[in-house]
Amino acid sequence: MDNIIRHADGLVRRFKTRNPFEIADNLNVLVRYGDFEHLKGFYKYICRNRFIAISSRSDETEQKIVCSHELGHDQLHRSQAKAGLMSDYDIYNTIDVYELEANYFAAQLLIDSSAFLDCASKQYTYAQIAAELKVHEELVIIKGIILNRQGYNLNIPFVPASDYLGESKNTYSLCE
Amino acid sequence: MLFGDRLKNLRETANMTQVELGSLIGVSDRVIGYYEANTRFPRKQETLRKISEVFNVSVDYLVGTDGRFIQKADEQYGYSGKRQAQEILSDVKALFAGGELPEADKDDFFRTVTEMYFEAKKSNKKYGRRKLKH
Repeated sequence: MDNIIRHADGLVRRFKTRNPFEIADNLNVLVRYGDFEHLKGFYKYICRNRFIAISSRSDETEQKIVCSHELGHDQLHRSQAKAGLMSDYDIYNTIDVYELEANYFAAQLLIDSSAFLDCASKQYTYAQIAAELKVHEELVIIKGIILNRQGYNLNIPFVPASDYLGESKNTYSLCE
Repeated sequence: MLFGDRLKNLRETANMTQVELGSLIGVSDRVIGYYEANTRFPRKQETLRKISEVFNVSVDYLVGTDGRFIQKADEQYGYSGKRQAQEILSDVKALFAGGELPEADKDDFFRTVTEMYFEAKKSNKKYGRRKLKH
């Protein structure tokens, strides 16, 4: 878990931005759009090229989150994606771990710690922080968990499931 | 649905065994088995034409989107292209079989992946092994 956080921080430092699209561009990950109805996005490794596909029907905030999530797969699980393990439905349980790790990565990449703590000091609720920082509430809670690991003492209402991107709105985020 | 599944459906509806179909179109029963398992795709147009005549369907229906993808990869990049296309297809098929992908998105998903494949091949050709920008 700590290496996921360090990895996300490292990328932000290296490219001096939290914009996942800019980071993907700098890392030579190609972002493409598809007209998916329920699928939110996927990551695929084809012939030495890394691709992220995002649904063009999502709004801007969601596209940003999906891009960060898939970028997490690229950075953390590329070897698994190369081996084709991530589309294998036989190892269902490990897929959940990968999704969870990608969500932690996305939360750390998108949300600035000081901005979060600034909101928290104003007694904002998680929903208010999410609205303020333009991300999903689930990611804000994950960020809270990360900060607690780093020694803060924040209230965590519940722990989002690894497939929150899939369950909450009856939509899907796949890593392929 | 992939080429192999369509072939198997047609053969079973016609109440035919793999051996019978094989002798009609001039390939062994084992090869029919490979076709139906989607691990191989007919090399000759003639084989496809013969199959379509046996079951009285169009070659276009028989080949389908997935077959056209394989044929195009074969035309442009030869044997290795064909193999890569088949590998991608079997990945996609495993995902479809996993049942996680809603029916409505399957076509778009497949189209996006095939577009990515040709884009990847094109950029590999253009630049060779690419360097990082940083």
